[in-house]
Amino acid sequence: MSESLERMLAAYRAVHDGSVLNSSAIERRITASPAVRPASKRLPALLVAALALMLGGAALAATGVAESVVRDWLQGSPSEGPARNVVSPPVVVPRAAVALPGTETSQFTTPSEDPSTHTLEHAAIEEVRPSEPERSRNRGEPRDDAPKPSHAPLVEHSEAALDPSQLAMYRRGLELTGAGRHSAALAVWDRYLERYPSGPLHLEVRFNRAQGLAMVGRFADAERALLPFAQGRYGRYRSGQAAALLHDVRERARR
Amino acid sequence: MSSIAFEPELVASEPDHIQGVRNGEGKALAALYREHQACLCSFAARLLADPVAAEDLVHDVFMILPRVIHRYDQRASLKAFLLGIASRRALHHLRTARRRRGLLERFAQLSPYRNVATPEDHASQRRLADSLTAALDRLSFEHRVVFTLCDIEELSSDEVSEALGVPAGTVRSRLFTARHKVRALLAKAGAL
Repeated sequence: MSESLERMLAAYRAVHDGSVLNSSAIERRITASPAVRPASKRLPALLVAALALMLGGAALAATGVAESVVRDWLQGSPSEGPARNVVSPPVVVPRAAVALPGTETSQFTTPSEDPSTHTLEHAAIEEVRPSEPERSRNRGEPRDDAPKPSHAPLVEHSEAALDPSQLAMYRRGLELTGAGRHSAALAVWDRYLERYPSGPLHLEVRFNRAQGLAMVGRFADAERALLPFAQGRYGRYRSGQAAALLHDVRERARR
Repeated sequence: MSSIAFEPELVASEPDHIQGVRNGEGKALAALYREHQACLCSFAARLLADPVAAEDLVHDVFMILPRVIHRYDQRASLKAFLLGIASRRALHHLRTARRRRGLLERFAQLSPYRNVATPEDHASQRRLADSLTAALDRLSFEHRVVFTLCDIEELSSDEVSEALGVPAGTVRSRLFTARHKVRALLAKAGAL
């Protein structure tokens, strides 16, 4: 094998090292799963769960309870209902606003499907369909590092949710960054987070701010800002990039 | 001074854990996971080049294990058996990983932070790895699995044959083709 290919393979091994995987989190997911029970015991349990869901769903639909619970939850009232079982908060990546500033389209997307819809009922259903990785992550016991369930209103992720001043502020931050004015951009990000701490763009702004802090050499602050992403506090949103950046920031800080 | 004596009957071996998994014992599954996670995490991370998808794959393997453990006849190593499960389950995860890479790449082209705070040596290593990832993404699934196991994980063709359940000759032939394609793709991209 040629020397350059060898170097490439060595680089590949170093970059895609299995040690970056959170092995203890995987172990928790594995041991928390009901799949460890033998099939003979699992099948009746699944049937019972499915029957309970069917009967429960019919009863709830008949009394109108399900609708009111869901609506309460959507409107943000501190219901004891579905929110209790939510394993991670809604994570929204406003793709159009981030990737294509200036366009009129509004394509909001999530890294996986909206995790706020992952309830225990989903987990029971997904037992039958174990091959989908985005869903299998949320099976079993909620992760220890998952944020506490939020009772905040579920954001309507449409263009209406992004008011023009937020978008203007976001674009200004990007422009300043593009022009290399990182301190000014940081001021914009800070102002955004002060005004809209849970606005639709707050995650992206927090990530941009973390990168900005790295750019101006505030490595300790950058590390603090990146840690929640890397540790999965916002689900998987930018967690891989944050971990890589965190590594770089720490390296740079050591020099 | 007191000495600590290990009681042999309390130290479970791999066959005990395998039997435990057959009986549906979570502790036995966890023990097998701890024993084999390093090798599986490494393979998954390198096959998929995406830590999130890799974690999902490893999780998947151990979720499936209790259902398929009856097929394990203990003639081959358990490591090979687990790698075989991972290889067969990886296609779906690879598609997810490829999609995510595509999205990230599109974002990176538009991001003002393309060259953010990255030490030069690390950036160069990342560039080399990215070139290889792009080439591997163009390989067929079978070729990618064999290339990853043989050339990246450095397993022998016999070990790979055992894991994948295909003849060693097939492994060697797939490896030959995979290497040829990887070289051609890298040369075309100007990375070699």
